[in-house]
Amino acid sequence: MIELDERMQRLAESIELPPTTPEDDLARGRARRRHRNLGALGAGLTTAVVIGTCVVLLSAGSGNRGAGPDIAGQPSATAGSEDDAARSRAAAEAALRDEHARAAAQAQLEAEQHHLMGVADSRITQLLDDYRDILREDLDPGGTRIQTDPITNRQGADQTLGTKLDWNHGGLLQVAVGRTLDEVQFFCDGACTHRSVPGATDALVLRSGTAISVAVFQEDGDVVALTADTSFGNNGTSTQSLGLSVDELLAAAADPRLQAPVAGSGSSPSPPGP
Amino acid sequence: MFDSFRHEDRDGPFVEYVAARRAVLYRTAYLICGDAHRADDLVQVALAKAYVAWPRLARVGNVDAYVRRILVNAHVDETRRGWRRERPGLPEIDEPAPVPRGEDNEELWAALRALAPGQRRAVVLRHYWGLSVEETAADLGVSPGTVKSQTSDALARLRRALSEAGTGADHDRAR
Repeated sequence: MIELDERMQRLAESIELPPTTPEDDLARGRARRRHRNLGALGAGLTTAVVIGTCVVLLSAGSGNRGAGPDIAGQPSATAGSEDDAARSRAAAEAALRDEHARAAAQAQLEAEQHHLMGVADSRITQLLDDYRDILREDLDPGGTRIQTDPITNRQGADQTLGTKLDWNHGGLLQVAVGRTLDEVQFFCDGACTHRSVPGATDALVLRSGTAISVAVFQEDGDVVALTADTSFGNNGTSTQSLGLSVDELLAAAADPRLQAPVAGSGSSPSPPGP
Repeated sequence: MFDSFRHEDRDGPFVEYVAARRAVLYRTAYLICGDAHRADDLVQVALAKAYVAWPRLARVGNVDAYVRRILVNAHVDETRRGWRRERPGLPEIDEPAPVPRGEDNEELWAALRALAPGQRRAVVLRHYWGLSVEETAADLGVSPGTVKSQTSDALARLRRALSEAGTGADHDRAR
């Protein structure tokens, strides 16, 4: 048992460590925290709006009851009812003002969010168009096989972006660019093979049925995953042949112009050549 | 809504922790999953989660246990996704995972890789981290009895594999 412990220690010590610095982990941690806080902020705003609406509705309801006829019918009730009605009206007006202020703030927030989403939206569209143009140059110089229609499919979040493109009239060419295999949803579980690709620190190849998948670790740290399949999956369409080899896919995935989006920086991949 | 820890409150201790413990965490992940890239992914995810939870971890004090559990659970999640296992490789160009350098590492590495994922996790936690049965059970979210049976079965397999490899090596040397 002790011998096994010692051998395990020796085995572990012999494992080469990746060249990652604590600052890299710090940056990833900060990004994850930002992402989580944004989600919490959205949930908090929604809760505040719901509670605010409930408060207004309840106030209005109690105001109506106070201004109504005096059910008890006691002699002193008339003056009391008027006071109650005045107080209820004042409360309802105050609640209404609060609600207006809340609604105005919410509208402003939504407008700002809408603006930001619009900016982000156009940036994402541009990035995906650039990915498609780069892949067309690398894999389909004639431009007869890759999708030319506007790109409607988007995948990824934060520092990952990808899409599914029609390939050769019914097939699939999927691209995802990120910083890790997890981000680009490339999973081997021991079934991948390693390949050497110029301009990349490592490359993985995976075949599954009619699909060929490659993932390339570019020298700048980006990970590009490409999947080509004769069937498009959800679309129910297919093509007779891909006309693509593993080497072609690896070379395309190693194209340094395919760059992962950087959250909030507005960066984009290098534009494709003429 | 948000924890009140400012960046500078958590960044310093976090960076110190990563500098001190990342190697051990990476090696743990590598021993468990057998792949350098996946190991790096597992460690990155675990450390990013640890950064988010840092104020709580700083109060509780046992950061190692927290990060180790995330690491192990991430690997459990991976191995549960059956569709990954259905993908065949390419035998003609398959390359084995790189073997850690060392005289007797090759045999142990091969024997470890041949274990079921659950057994591998138990063996790594018990014999690399040196955790007790109870600590291992807590990390894996299983009963101590399960840890005992998994470890026992795994050790029997390891002994058998190492003994066969040793016999083979002796036989080669004799020739």
